[in-house]
Amino acid sequence: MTLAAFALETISTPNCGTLPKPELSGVALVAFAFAVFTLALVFHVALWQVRVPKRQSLTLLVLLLGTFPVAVAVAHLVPPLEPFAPVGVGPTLHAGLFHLAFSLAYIVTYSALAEDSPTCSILVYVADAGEAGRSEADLMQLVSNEMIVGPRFDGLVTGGVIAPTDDGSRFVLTPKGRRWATLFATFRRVYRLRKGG
Amino acid sequence: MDWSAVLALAALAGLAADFLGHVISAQFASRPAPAILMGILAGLAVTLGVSGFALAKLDADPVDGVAYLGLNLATFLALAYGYFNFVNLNMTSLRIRLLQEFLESPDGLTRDGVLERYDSRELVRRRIARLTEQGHLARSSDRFLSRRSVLLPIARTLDSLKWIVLRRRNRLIAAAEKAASSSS
Repeated sequence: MTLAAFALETISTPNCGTLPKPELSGVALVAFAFAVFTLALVFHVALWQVRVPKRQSLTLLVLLLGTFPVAVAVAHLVPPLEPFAPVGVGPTLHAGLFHLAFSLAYIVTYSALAEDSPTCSILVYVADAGEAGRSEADLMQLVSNEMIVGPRFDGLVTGGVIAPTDDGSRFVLTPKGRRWATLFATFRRVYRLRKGG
Repeated sequence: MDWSAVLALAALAGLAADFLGHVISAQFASRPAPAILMGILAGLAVTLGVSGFALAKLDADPVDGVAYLGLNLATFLALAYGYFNFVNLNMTSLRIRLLQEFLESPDGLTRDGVLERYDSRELVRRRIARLTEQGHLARSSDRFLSRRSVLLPIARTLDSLKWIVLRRRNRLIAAAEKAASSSS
C-alpha cells in the first residue's frame, strides 16, 4: 500500500469527522502533536550540526512540514504508537494545524537567527555594557553599512527583486519586485504604519 | 455540523479575528502597539469562544476539554506570533524599506545612491529612537543604558539559539568587541 493510499484510508475511516476513538483522548492528541514537533526540531538541529544547507529556509520548511505526515503514518504502522495516532479528519486536522502553526513560527524565529537583527544587537550590546552604557558613537560602530545595507541590496539583486537598467547605471524593480513592493505598501496603508526600516 | 472539525479550526478563526481586530483598531489607534494588542485579544477571545462552544456541543470529557483548549490556545499563539512578525516586518525590515524606496523611484536608483540615502547611521538612529521611545533604552546625558525590557530576554534567547543551531555568535557584536579590543 502506498503512503498516499494509506493516508486516504486513514482519514476516510467511518468515524471520520467525529470525536476521536475513546482510546485517543485529547491528552493523547496533545502529546502526539507536541512530540512530533519536538522530534522535527531535534532532527533539524542534528542535521544543522552536520551541515547547514544552502537554501536554509526552504530546507527547514520541507523538513518541518514533512515530519508530520511521516509521523502520522509511522504512528499508524507501529503498534506501540497506535494509541497516539490521530484517526479521522478532525483529530488529524487538529494536530496538523498545531504542527503547521509551530513550524511557521519557528521558521520566522529562524530567519532572525540566520541574520543578525540590528535592533536585538543594539539591545544586547547596551545591556552588556552594564551601568557604563554605550555612547551613540559605540552604537554607530556596531552596525556598519558594509554589514547591513550592502548585503541586503545585493540580496534584492540575487533574489530577482531588482535588476539593473539596460545601460546598467541604475537598478529598478522587476515585475516580481513590483508585486512584493505593492503588497507591502498596501499592508502599510491598511495598518496605517509609517515607513519602516 | 462536524464539531470536531470546528474545534480543530478554532485557532484559524482566532487568526482571522486577530487580523480584523488589528486592522479595525489601527484605524483609531495613534500608535501600532495598542492596535496589535487589540488584534491579539480579539483572536484569543474568538479562539476560546469557538473552542468552548465546540467542546460543549461534543460533550467532551473535562480533562480532554482542557487538553483540546490548551492545544488550540498554543496553536493560536503560534499563529499570532507569525502574524505579529509579519506586521513587524512592515515596521522594521530594511529590505521592505528598500522595496518602498524603489517603488517610489520609477526611474530607478543606483547602489551608491541607496547606500548614501539610507546608510547605517540613519538605520541606527531610527532604532535608538524607537527603542528609547518604547522604554527599552534610557538616555543619560550622552550614554544609552539598558532598562527592564521584554525585548532583551528575547534578544538573548535568540543569541543562545544562534549558538545552539548555527554554532556562531552574533556577528555584529563579535565584530564590535573585536574592534574595541584591538583599539584599546
